[in-house]
Amino acid sequence: MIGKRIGLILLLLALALGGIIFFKPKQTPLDFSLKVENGAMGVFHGQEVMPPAIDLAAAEPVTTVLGETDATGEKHIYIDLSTQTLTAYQEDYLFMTVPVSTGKWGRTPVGEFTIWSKFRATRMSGGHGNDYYNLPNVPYTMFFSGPGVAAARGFALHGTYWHNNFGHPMSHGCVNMRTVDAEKLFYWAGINEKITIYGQAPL
Amino acid sequence: MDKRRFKSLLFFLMAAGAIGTLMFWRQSPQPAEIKVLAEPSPSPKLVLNGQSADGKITLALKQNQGADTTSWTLTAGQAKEKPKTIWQLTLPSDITVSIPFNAVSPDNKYLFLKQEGPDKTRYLVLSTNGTALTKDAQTVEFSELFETKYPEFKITEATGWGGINLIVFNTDKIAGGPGPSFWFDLSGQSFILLSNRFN
Repeated sequence: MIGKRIGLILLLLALALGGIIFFKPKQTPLDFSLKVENGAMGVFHGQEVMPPAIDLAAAEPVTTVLGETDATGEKHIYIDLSTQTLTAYQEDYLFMTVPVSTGKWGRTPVGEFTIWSKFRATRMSGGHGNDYYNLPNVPYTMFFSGPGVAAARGFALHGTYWHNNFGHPMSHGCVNMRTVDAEKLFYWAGINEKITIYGQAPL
Repeated sequence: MDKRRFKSLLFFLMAAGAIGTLMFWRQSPQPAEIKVLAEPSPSPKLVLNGQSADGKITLALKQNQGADTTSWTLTAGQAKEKPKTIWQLTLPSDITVSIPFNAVSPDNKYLFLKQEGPDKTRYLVLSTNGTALTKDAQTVEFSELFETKYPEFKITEATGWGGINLIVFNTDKIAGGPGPSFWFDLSGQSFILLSNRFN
């Protein structure tokens, strides 16, 4: 009887540990804050990467064209994992549709989310061995959370300076965007903006 | 009497306005399409534009069609700088050149072009500032290097850059079926077989 209980406890512990390992944040900032570290080197897949310098004084909304500012109503961001595409609407007005890179080495969650925090730049790190990455100055980061995906897990939409393979899964769970697209979205989307992620990424 | 004078004055003003508009329009820069179409154009035609992922480098690919050959010209420019010609090549007319969406390396130093012919697709790598990539050549063409090293596979598509110097491409097996993905490491001009396929 005692042996069975111990076995059950061990089984539950193993399942919990497995769950933590499987569902742990795949691309996590050391802390959720603005971090500008100009001159610091990054690491991605064993390669050193020089991040772009961030100039906060120069940070301002990108110029909008006529029509963009006229749109009113609810904003919504859709990410289709199967086509690796992000589409943003304000009511029926299409703001952008761009290729992105979602999870390859970690799963991008599907469901309904909202942006809970935005930073012009922050640091992200994670992975192990060949998969290790540590990237300062990740630009235009928009963290999202929702049912089943706690804010602490660190999923985000953000600009990307360490690869250029958009339209194909390339991330550890976040939604990688071209920096030029992330900048545009960053200044368009506010806190609490809705995000829907759906579909299945190509294997 | 006043009414008649007013009508005459109105007519005069309308006529003057119409003549003035016509003269102004004729002196304004006119669309040149008709003239250009009527003559053989000496200037190349813009075929494709491209952009680096951070938006800092813009690319323009132009072609000049001859009888049996096509001359291709690629220019690259940064913001506030005049675009500079970084590559030119004349090819048989049945070969086309294009700028893939993810053409520019993450550090903006290199780019690759796709060259499609009736029997073969090649990929050319070059530097964005036009300097030679090796001691002997301005460009590196990696599909032939790959075929020599891995004759059992053929390249289906180069999708982009997996890192600073790493071009990602997918393959098919010559015997049939999908093959693995590879990285072409530009720094050592070598190939890295990947355990994951980059679909």
